[in-house]
Amino acid sequence: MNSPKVRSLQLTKALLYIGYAVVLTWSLSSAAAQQATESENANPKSKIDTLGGNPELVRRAKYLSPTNKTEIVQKREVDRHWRLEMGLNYGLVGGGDPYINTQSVGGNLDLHINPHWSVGVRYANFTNSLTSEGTRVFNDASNSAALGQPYTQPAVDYPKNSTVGVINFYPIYGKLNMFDLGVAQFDIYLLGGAGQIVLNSGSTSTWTAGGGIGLWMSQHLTSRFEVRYQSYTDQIYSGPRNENTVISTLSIGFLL
Amino acid sequence: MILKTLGRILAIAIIQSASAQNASAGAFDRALELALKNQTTQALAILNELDTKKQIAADLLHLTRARIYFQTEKLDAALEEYNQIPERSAFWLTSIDEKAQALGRKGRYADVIATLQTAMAPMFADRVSPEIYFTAALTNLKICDYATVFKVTEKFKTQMKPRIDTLQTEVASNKPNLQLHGRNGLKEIDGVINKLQVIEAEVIERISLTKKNDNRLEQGQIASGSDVMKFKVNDEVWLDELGKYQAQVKECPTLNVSGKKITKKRASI
Repeated sequence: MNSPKVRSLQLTKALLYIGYAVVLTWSLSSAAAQQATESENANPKSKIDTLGGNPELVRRAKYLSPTNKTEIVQKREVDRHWRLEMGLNYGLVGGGDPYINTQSVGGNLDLHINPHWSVGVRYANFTNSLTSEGTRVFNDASNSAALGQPYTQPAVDYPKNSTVGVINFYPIYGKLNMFDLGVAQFDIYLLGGAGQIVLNSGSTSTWTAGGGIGLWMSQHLTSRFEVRYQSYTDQIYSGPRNENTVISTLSIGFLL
Repeated sequence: MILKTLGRILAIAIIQSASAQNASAGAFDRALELALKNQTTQALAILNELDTKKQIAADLLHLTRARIYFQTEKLDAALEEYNQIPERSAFWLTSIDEKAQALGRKGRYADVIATLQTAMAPMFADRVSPEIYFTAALTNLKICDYATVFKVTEKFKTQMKPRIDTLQTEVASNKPNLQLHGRNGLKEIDGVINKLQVIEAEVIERISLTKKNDNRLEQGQIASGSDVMKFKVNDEVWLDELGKYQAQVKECPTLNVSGKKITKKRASI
């Protein structure tokens, strides 16, 4: 059995150990609490500017880095494989007979083979009127004839309708923001072809070449703006005459 | 009399519907509990049953299933579930972030870069998780594209500074919910900064040791053909382009055991 003095020493030691354990536990929990508090009260604003390299580091990084590519790849919204497009168009004709103003109303038919190629037909029915100069010369001639004076009858020939077969090639594509209502894809195309044109003097061959923009507004609704050069030979009383016209048309179409 | 009967029938239908919805919500919570306890098979079974009953939103089910598959390392199944979440879903942005992580785990770094291009679009700057910047930086580190690592950290700084100001304002407010939201947000950003610092330290070390080497294996492919339209990536982002990115990247130069660099092309399957 221990003496009172030994027991006192053992008790003191035990108290010291307990006290040490309490202090150790308290300091550890205090540190953990502080870390948790710091974490909870994180202030990244002061740390965020430590990110980023100096210019020399960035330069060296650029030198070492490969050329990686990222592109936007979208499917064509409107499938144009073996689809038939029919449209109505309105056009203005520039050039041709200097005394005649010509407009056209017509239709177009295109068979899309794939998004890059189509074959089609352009039909135009022409309406003609005299220009102000044409009106003047006709009036002068009429007046001279009425007065029994010599006059020169103005020579005019004008188109009535034309039908041309065309091949279209669509090498360039793009898309339009349609007034923030949606996005419409389009193709810029080239066309060329030949056919027949019926003039006041008779029928003759014609050829055409040009380009346009085809806008694919939905799976079935299309629009085209086309400008094409069309050439033919007309007949006036002095002989055949080469005519070079530019036809600009706007059309609305339907894709079957 | 007829009206009363109809009214009773309608009331019963509403009550039954509400009960069914409560039961489904309870089942969903149970599935989440099981998943957290790693009892994923049972969790998936409950989710599949809920899917057939169509009483939980489909996008939420897909996201939860994807996360369970991700947890069990079934990454292909996880990716399939993430791909089911439509763009109009409230979870779409979250799914992109997690999908990028799944792709990174599979080593499909080109797809990670293409996926994160959407997440890092300017219109999502105020709502996207800061974790995507860590995923982007890590992916670029893995393909040794050090310049892009610095670009990502610069973008992170630009996008996060205004958000930090907003979160600090929330912390300083006298509304407990806002304070909690602010603290959690700042903690998240702080964690990402720490991780980005580690990545940058790795980049600095590698830059100091690496020589230029253009003989690298390529990963990823950018589709071409008459059926697709390709546009360059620039600062202008059109809404119809989101989620439509593709990337082709060069991997890090590889070394064989003798220390010589391998230059042969990857065999095609």
